[in-house]
Amino acid sequence: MYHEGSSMTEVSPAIRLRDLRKLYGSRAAVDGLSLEAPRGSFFGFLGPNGAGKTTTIRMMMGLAQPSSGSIEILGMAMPEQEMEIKRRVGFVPDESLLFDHLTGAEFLEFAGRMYGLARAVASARARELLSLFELNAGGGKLIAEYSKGMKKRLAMAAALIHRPELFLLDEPFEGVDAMGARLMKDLLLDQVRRGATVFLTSHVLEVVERLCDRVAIIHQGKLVLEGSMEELRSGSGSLEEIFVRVVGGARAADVLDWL
Amino acid sequence: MGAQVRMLRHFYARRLGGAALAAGMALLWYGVWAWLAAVVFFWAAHPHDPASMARLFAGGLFLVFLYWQGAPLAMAATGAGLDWKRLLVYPVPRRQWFALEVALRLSVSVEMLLLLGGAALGLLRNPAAPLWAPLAFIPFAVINLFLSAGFKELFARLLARRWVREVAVFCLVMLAALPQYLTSVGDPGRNVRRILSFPQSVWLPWSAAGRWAAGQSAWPETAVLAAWVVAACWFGRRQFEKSLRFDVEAAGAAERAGHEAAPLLERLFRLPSRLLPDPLGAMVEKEMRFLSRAPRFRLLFLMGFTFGVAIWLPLRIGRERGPEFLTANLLVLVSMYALLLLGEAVIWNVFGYDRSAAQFYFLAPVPFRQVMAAKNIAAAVLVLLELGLILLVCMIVRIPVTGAKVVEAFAVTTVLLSYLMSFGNLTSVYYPKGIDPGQSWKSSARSFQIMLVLIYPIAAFPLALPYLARYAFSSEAAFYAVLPLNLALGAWLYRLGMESAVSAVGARKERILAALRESGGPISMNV
Repeated sequence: MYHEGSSMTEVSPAIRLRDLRKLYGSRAAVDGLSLEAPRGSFFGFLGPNGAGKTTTIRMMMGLAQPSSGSIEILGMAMPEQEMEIKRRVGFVPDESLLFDHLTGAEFLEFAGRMYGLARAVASARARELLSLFELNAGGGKLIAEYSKGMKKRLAMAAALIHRPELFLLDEPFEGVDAMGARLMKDLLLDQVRRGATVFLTSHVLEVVERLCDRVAIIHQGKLVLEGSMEELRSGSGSLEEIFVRVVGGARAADVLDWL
Repeated sequence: MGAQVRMLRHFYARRLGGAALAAGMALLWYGVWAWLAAVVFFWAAHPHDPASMARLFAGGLFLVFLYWQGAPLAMAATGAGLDWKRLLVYPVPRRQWFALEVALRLSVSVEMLLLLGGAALGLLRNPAAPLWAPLAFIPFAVINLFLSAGFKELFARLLARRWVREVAVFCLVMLAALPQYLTSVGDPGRNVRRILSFPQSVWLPWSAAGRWAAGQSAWPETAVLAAWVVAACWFGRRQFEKSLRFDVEAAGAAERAGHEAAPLLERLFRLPSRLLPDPLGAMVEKEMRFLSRAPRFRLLFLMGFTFGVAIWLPLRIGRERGPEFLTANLLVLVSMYALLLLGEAVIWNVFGYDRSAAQFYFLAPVPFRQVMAAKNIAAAVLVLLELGLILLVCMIVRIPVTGAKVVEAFAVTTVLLSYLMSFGNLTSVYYPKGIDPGQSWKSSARSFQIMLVLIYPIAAFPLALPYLARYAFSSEAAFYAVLPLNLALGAWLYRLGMESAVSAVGARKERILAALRESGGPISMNV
């Protein structure tokens, strides 16, 4: 559901992180991260495994508490305006948020009602989304019986049901087949054209390169690169080459002489 | 085995408090068994008439056999175990996996090994017993280990099939209640003697081991026990192999024709939404749907109204010997027992079945207080439904229940439920644990169950007051005069528990979600 915000909301970026830090004991999972994702952008948030991407997204959704720093989503402070932020954000996490022993239709209707939709509206949208994501063929199948790709499609459908202004997507295409991935990408591009913001993490750099207009790369919890795709492309090489250059790493064959 | 040890080390290193509590309770439990082993030791250390000794050994070993094979099943504790399917990718011969599986069965056999050890040491001290007598317990233990490995696999497969699971549990329930019947109906002493004298055939392993241990003879018994070892090994290995090939998905395929509820059930599921506003109604509806399809919950629910009645029914049949309090309060006792069973699923660990999906509650724009309230309302509805079914079963088996007793059962259970939920809302926030609702055969951690053993009497203690009032004044009016005070206390405690849970959840959110998404991996400790 789109909200016509105040003038402050209109000018503020979709996401603003200021000196965000998350410590686990003495280890910093996120270390002084500051970035802004403009409204209406398709923002790629990249980094190697363990770089702190998921932790950052979890902090943005209030699932993890920052050790220090500030988070502003759609012009609202997290956690002070947590409820309002949640109402306007669609989230696809890296791990399942689906209740195994519900059917896809039941889960979507439940999700819609949790976001304030009337039952009839939630039910109608659930049916349409199931059809759109080609999940209605399973009939009364429980989510527990879904394949990994089907679960990702359903999670994406659940993120769409309340028409959010901002999408936080953590590896949304993982395990999804080519047709499903194509559908999801088209839908997300449509949402961006409609004015929504997409904040996406993915290890498939080709996908990020094709979809995103801005990219940030973090490594060991720190921002190491940020810019528009045009800026990055103006330099040499593909996004993969830039990523490897920025993040570093040795080739296995150089390290393991027995391999 | 190294992996198992390392897993346990890491597991307990992270849960020092729970480990200390579990160690204390384990000490108490095994202390009792060690004491029993000492009794057996002193009995076996003295010379007795060989024939009566053989008979008593046979009877005792029969009970050992029953406990060894039955107790882990009845307690839904499958012991330390490995998820073999995940380990099949490694190039290890299957016979080695089986040997390890048999070795792991020792984790649910310690009590019996203590008894057998006591008997063996006693025989060594017995001047009348030949030196080879204690050796009888070795093949007997091996037979039991092989059989328990086989039975575990057999039951695990049976319980993967929906209707077979329900029938199997019902049979198990009836079997578990059998001793209760036999000691209540007719002459209990004669019944027990009949049980002990029934399995005296020399072809049975406990009789053969008993005769050997009593020093009567060894060679025929050796042959019988050797045959049993071979048969048990074949059975255990065959069941193990079948489990390795068993396809849970295929077994459940028949029940996947559709999960859409029948119209009547659908109306029942929708009822909370008609009575409660969203999101509360939506959450209660979700709980009802979810739990009604979760195999583990269905098992607990089924046991609640069958096992409870079955276990207390003998008091009614043999009521002339049963304590008056128990016979008079049968319905209340069965109801409280059902509450105890359902507690695991709907009170103590309300996010357990949701596992990682519980994060949805933290992501949706819904206050946590409402989430907890929805969970509690669903629990109350299910408990009251269970009470209704208990009442129905009581009527079917012609247990006399008066209207007053029905009112009392509902009132007392409601009050107890309010106490338990006040504790439960806190334990759900402080001790969450992901439980696979699809695995009907796995119980929650024993350390948690031990904690419940401590919580239940504390929570039920105030309920003694109305009963004391009834006893002191010999009046129903006194009982119902005190009960509202309990209800008021329950309401106050519930509010206190809810406030504490809500204020704690903000700081504990990460830990709750981390605990709920923890999976057992290929190695599990389900004792």
